[in-house]
Amino acid sequence: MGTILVLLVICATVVWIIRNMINDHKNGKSVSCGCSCSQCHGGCHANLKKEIDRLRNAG
Amino acid sequence: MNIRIALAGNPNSGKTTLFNALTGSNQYTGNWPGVTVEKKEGKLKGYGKGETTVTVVDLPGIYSLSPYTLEEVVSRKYLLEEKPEAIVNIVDGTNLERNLYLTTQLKETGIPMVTAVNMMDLVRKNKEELNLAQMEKDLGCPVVEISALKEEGIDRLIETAVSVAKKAEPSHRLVFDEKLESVISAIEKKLGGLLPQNNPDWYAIKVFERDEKVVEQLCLTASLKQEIDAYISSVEKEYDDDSESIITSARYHQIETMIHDCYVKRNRQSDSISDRIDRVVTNRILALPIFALVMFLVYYVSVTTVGSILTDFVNDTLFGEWILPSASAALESIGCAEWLNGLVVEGIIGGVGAVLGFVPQIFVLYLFLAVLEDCGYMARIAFIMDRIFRRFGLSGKSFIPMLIGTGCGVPAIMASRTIEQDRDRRMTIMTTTFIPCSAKLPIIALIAGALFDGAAWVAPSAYFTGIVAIVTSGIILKKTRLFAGDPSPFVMELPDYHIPSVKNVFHSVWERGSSFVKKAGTIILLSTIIVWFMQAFGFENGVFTMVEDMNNSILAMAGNCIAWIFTPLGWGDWKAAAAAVTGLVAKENVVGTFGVLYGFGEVAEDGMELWGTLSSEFTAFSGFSFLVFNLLCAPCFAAMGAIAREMNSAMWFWIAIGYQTLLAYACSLCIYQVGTWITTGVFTLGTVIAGIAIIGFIYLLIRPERKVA
Repeated sequence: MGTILVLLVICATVVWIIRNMINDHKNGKSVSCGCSCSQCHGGCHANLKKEIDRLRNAG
Repeated sequence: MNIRIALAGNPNSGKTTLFNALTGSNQYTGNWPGVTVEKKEGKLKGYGKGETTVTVVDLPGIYSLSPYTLEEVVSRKYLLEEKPEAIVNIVDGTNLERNLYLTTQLKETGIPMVTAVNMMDLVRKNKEELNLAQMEKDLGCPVVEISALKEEGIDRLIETAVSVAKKAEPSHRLVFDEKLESVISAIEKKLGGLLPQNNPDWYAIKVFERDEKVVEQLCLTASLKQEIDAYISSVEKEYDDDSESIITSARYHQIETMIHDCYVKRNRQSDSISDRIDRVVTNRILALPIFALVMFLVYYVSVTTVGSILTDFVNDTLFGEWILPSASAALESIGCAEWLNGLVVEGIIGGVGAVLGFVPQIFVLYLFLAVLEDCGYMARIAFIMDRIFRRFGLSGKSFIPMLIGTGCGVPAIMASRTIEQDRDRRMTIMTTTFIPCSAKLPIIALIAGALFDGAAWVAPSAYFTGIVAIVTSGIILKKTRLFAGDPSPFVMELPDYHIPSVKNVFHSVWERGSSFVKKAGTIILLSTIIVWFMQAFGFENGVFTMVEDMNNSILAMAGNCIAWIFTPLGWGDWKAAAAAVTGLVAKENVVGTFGVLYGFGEVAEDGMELWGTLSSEFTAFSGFSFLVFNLLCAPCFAAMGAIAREMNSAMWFWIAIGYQTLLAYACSLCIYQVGTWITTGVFTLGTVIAGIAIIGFIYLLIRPERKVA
């Protein structure tokens, strides 16, 4: 019983972490970047590459 | 109705601080240029919902609207193409003359504007006087005095900005002398319908300045272009100057008149306190030793003394005596299977705990760094380093990303965007992650504590290894065809020294420290679970099972496949190899993996400490070689992703990663081989290769520079 309970807690934690990481990724945040997004100058944004390309083409 | 208000101003004029005050957000501020690389948006406080919503856009700091730098391109494109309803033009009241140059250009865009004179508290403190009513009259737009840092005058600014935006009365540019005015109207007449109706003057002035981007945008016919060119040339001949300089002089003439009208400068009898401090701190001879001493003290106190006391408590007492035994006992009492007990205690708590144990050191380090940043010292370091970097063909601009890199490599890599020249930008991207970030601090502290008994020099040496690697890389790379050329110019204002704001310091420490803790609870936790499974299961007697001997595990098999690569570096053991590889996911994983493999979880049972077990596997030189390799080699995946995005080229990405890894390998090889040879007299093939590497390195450093046409 104890084993099942602990296993369930671990599985739930893992699922919760992965779900959060997927959500962060969808929201343009990095999964493994240690910086907080407010420090990051948008470096983790998913559309950043497009923005850089646009600016480079413009510049 | 949604109103967009753009914040525009010079670098370091306090835009981001004002943005935070206006929107209640917590964007990172810093007192060096380039903190805001791209525009950021937020809702104005009190105008987030309802009939009228107001979006505030923080533009990068710029000195002009010329398209010379990426920041200028971003700001100019936003103002002209997105056409916000109003501009809040932030002017640093203590540097009025320089700041008003941009003001004259912003007025030319025709967008309704309000001028916010920032740092008025300092203006008053310096006993200087500013006649805002006269300034308002001269500029032809509302002027509000504020102190963004102290949040003074913000409500009035919000009110004025919203009212200006709602009225939508276009701003009028300042008038040049008669001759120039006639030239501009002549150009306008010639271009006629080609000019946008809302701000034809701005385009006419830019055409006169021979702004290539505007000329290109207007799609002028060859004959019209030639006609206008001939006209501009005749004016240039008359003024005996180029057209851009003629306009610049005219703008400065307007500014001089305005300053004369509304600004009473105190006649300084003596130097300010900042001047007096700078005379010592930025002194040609003393600057570098003072910087070295300051950084030595910062790392020594954070990693070795105060930080170490707190870390010892977290490791030995909190985890060792309280959490681990309690968790183990609790799991046993509920009848949890032994293997699951192992996963939780040795894997999760052991791995994550090994990383979390360094949180106190990280908080102490960031407290010091935040104080140094906020009081204005770090801005001086960029200035000092520019002087040194320039000697070796590098720009001081390369040092700004390195300052940011002490927190995390990702924003540091992004900050390299402020460097205009591609070769310098690429070189900065390649070298900026050599500065130890927060994730590398646990590795430094672990090696310092476990292998050097907390010796004072180890932690500061990691920081200086990063700086030396950057400078020497700069020298070597600048002599190659790919990077040869003059460094980018670096202009920055040195802010006055001031007592650090408690709010700013704690915000900075909390942002950096809490993201470290969050990371330990997510990616590091998942990694330790995987590492634990990989070290707990494997093949024994031809059967896949939970292994009794860790050397039969999957992790050992995988580690052994690559461990030979690191044998010449002194740590050819599969555990160290596996730790270095897991460090690619996140650098904290190096310590997390050691925590799982060397049994942090065993502390409570047999009194054996992880650090003690670890020290038996390494010599001093192999330990330092391991530390240097992990400091200089390819960074974590997040930073690699940032490198790939910023390089925007697969070839350059691989050159960067290849260079970092090669340099890390060569340095570690030399440290281990030469160190071992000197201390033990053992001379091997590795020693010969290390000798060749040192000779090659010296040759690359001293060979003549490549001449660039």
